[in-house]
Amino acid sequence: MGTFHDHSKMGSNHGMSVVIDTRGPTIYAGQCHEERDDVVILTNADVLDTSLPESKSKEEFVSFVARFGVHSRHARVSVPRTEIVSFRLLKDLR
Amino acid sequence: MVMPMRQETLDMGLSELLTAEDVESFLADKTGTKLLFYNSVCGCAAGGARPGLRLALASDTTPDQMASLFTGMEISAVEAARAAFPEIPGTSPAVGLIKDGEMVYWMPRHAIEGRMPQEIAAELVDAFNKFCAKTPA
Repeated sequence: MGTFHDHSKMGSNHGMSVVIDTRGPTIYAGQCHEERDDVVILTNADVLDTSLPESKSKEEFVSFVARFGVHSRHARVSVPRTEIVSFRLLKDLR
Repeated sequence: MVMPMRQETLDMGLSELLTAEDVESFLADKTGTKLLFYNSVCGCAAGGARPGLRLALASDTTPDQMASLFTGMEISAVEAARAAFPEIPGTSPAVGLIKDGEMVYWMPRHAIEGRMPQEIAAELVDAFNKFCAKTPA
């Protein structure tokens, strides 16, 4: 019993925790809310910009979220499809 | 709406932490093992978490103390619990295992999503056996 998400409208990964890597310095993790033609929308997301000084690497970021989960630093982020190089379910990275 | 989900954890023998004071009291004694379950209404994950936890608690080795918090409901209690372990992201549902005051095992939301209760239980039982087994006298 609980709140069941409408996968038919939001995409098959709706509600799942994912990591989205981009061709640029940014990598995202969060709950997949909606997969649109132009963007993927994440909720309760964390974003790493590796171009910032003292930033951890993308590998370190993925290793942390795979083990412990995602720090919810952003209520909602939109990731442009054109930037995405990989889309992975966090449960497959443990 | 959440009453049946609360009742599931009460039926498993978990106490409810409703306030920040409840959390502080639960965590005050640093000895032994404690299970902290972050309950949630999300059917994608919590719908498997509660039955998985119930199966795991039928094993021979279980934590000394067990409690649940309901995320999105008892805000101050959840904030207090998360503040006690700030390095751990606040995902829910989730299961934490604390030994002698340290979070030694963490099952985040994504380790629950899409898994059968039996799979969740098997991982929890492994953690119980690893961290909660009593050393023979």
